[in-house]
Amino acid sequence: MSRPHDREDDPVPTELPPTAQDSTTRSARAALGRYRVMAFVTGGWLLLLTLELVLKYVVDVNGGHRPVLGVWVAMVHGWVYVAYLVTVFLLWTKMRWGLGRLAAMVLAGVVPFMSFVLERRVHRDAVAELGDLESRTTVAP
Amino acid sequence: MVLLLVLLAAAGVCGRLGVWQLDRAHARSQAALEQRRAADASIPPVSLSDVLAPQTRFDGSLVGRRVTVRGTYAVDEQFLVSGRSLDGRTGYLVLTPLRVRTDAGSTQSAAPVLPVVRGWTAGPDGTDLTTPSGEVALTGYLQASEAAGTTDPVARTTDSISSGALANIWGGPIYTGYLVATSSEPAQPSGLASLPQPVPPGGWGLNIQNLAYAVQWWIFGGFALALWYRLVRDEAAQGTASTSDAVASGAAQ
Repeated sequence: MSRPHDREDDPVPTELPPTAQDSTTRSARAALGRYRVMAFVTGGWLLLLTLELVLKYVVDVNGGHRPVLGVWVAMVHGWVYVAYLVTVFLLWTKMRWGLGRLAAMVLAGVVPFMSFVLERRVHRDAVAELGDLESRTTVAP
Repeated sequence: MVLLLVLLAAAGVCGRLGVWQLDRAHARSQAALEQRRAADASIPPVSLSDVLAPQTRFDGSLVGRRVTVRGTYAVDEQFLVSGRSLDGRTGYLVLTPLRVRTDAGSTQSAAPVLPVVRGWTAGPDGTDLTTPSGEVALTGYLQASEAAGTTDPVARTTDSISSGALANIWGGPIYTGYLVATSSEPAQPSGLASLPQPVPPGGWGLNIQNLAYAVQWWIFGGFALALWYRLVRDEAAQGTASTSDAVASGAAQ
């Protein structure tokens, strides 16, 4: 499978000295780690929220579409999603990906299961690109 | 270019949605208050002695509770409470002590006193402030006592309804809340305006859930602006790069 994003805008200028390059990839890896955590947390809360919505509107456990687990589920997911978006934005900025990928990552926080699937792909691509970058700088000592 | 406008529009929409949620937060809080009011009003009044005894702590949940009480007004000990507004007009509350008739076998030596707000008047002059004589049966809402203020026992005016301060003047035992009278049997002279049902204090006047949604919309709007800023910056950087390229190639020719 080919890379879905545009290879023309290279992530980081390669003429940077190796130390600067190192710190850039290191902060990108840190952003990737934060994104990974939030993708799982958001995905988990979204599943709980989906369960709540199904119980509330489809099964209608309490009648009259009243909350089953509680309104706090939606509230917690809302704030977790905000934190998730912060990590998405920071990672996306560091990796210099296209707008399509940003849209997909934003959407993944509100579509059940999507964050888990997308996180794998994002992680794989990011690791590949960062590895690529590091090998290019370490080749010439 | 279109994308930048779309992002700015998205930020604007997010801001507007935040304001909408803020309105909803206010509306839902009002609705909850009305619901609480209606619920209180639908509960049949209970006897005062069932919910509150003299000289005991006034529980906050009693605010707005409808009660009935029988007793005799102490006509000469009436006070006017100054600086009270009703429907946007400032005037006075008429505050009269009621010597409550307690059940037989009561151990209280003297009849306990219940402060009763009989109604509101724009000014004491020209209003009939006489109280019904003899025993009266009152129905009204309970309200918590206020902090002590300034009381003039000679002019019979005060600026607060404080059981503690009033007990010094009226003599105890006294109830730690007061009654906002809504009906009296026999009826009191007309001319006094009834106060609305008291509502419990506290609450922000804003529904927390909708308030959180409002903040979240504004944060989303902030994201749109941040994205806009990044795109503009990239565009500018690219613009300078291509300009310098053009300059370089122009120089080479």
